[in-house]
Amino acid sequence: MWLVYCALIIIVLISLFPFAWLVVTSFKTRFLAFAIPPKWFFEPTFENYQGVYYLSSFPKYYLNSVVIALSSTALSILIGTPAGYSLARFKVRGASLAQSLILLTRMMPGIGIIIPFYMIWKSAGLLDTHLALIITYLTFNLSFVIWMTKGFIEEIPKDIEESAVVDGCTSFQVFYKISLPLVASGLAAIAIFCLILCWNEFMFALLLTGYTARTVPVGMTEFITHEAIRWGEMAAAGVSTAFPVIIFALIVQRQLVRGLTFGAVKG
Amino acid sequence: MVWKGWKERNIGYLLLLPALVSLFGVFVYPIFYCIFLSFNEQYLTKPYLGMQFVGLANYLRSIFDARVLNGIQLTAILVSGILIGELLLGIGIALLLDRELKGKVIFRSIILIPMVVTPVVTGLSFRTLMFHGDFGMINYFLSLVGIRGIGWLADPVTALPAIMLTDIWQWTPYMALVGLAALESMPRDPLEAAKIDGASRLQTFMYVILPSIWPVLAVAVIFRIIDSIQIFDIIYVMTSGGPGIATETLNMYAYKVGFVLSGEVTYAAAIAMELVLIVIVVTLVIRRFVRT
Repeated sequence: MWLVYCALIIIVLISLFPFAWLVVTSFKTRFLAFAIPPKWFFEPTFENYQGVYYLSSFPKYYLNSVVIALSSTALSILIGTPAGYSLARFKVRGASLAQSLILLTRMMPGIGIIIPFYMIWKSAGLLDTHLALIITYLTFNLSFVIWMTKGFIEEIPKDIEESAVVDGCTSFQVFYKISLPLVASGLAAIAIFCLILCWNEFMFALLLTGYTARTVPVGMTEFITHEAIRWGEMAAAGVSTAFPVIIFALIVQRQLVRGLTFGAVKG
Repeated sequence: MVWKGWKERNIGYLLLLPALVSLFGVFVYPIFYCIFLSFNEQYLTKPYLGMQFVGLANYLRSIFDARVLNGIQLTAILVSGILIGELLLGIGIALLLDRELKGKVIFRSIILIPMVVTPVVTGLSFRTLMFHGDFGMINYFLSLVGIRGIGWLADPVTALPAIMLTDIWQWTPYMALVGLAALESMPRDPLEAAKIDGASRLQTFMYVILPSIWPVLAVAVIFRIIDSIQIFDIIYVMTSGGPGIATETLNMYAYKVGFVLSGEVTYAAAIAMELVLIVIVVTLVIRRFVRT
């Protein structure tokens, strides 16, 4: 039995080591950062974080990421939750089309989407804008929200909704005032999941943004220049980028497996 | 009054409509536009030339393009390596965790961290902190046991395995968590029966556990295959497809064709469509495999 615990400790160490080492590196001076043999104990410094936050464009990219992630998530939830509710509760003539489209969006390679989108936004003069990215991110966020909402709604019994209708609610009121509050925690998980997806996204952001709307993942590549790799600052930026995501993920960890398998596994 | 009843009767449709319209706008339309692009010729670097119709020329060209073939091969190798690694390790970890454990919840929380760390951050930190020839930690640990480390990302032979390892590190927890969920929802009676019948651990695993969890795992496998075919972030920040074209997957080549080399978006669109075709074929093959 202790063999199991040994194996698990090793797994934990492997899982945590890269990020932990990133955190450690972010507090080292430039000289210490790539010393070999590596220094495990040293005097920490904040100069990397200062460099990242005061001397680079990182704060601007951070703000861009926050704005884009929040907006795209809000938009996806606004459009997606009614659709999920509809698919769960009504027999609609667009239902099977919608469901096929949703599954297709999950399967479609991003490169097949981003090439046309680049051309579209270019001719619309909307390259390097927040709006372009917000709308483009709907590609993967929307289907996720719809599918997950459908799953959550299907789990609540119809009785409450039916008695509300008897009491005189319109269907929309039932959706808005009864069903949605009942799946509130599920919705929170969906929202956080969308935020994480938007925050971590790289390829679309790389191709659709320039200096104005650049997001954090793209901005991170600036720390590797032709002359040198700015280890300490790269580490500080990396920690700043990944830390919120880790916190959010831990909040929704119970729903994580469910989200990542598109609802196939209830976790 | 009649109008009000119409809204109520068609409420399902009305609730779905914005989403349908949006999906058409951000998904169906771009895909068709991409197909349209693939039958034309346009260079981003030479906008004055405009767009010209060339029929199947792009597709024909891709058949004879050595880098396309290289891209397909590398993608196949990469995906296979990743899948094998993640399946074996993931199922192994799931089996380890499927028992009464102290701190099981904490283990589950910790192992999901690699999955959510921004892939660009993962790629950059693995490139600099782990795989770096002179200053990386992997070579340091190897030197502690007397093995001389190499420049992992600079060597064409080890670059792709290094990428594989990075993705395996990142996504094995996914396979493990799905496997664990599957194991935990498995009925226990067949296991008891197998024990009574005297089956060995391996036999129990092969003939009782595996068939039971396979349908659930298959979903995860399909998603991982689709995502692995499209890996972009970590390749971009770790090797950019190099050294040379040693890690230039088809996805990466399409990106380079369209946005780096000569801005030939139309040829890139054709390659992208071929990538879509590959995904469709692979998905169909797997689903047939699962049904049996």
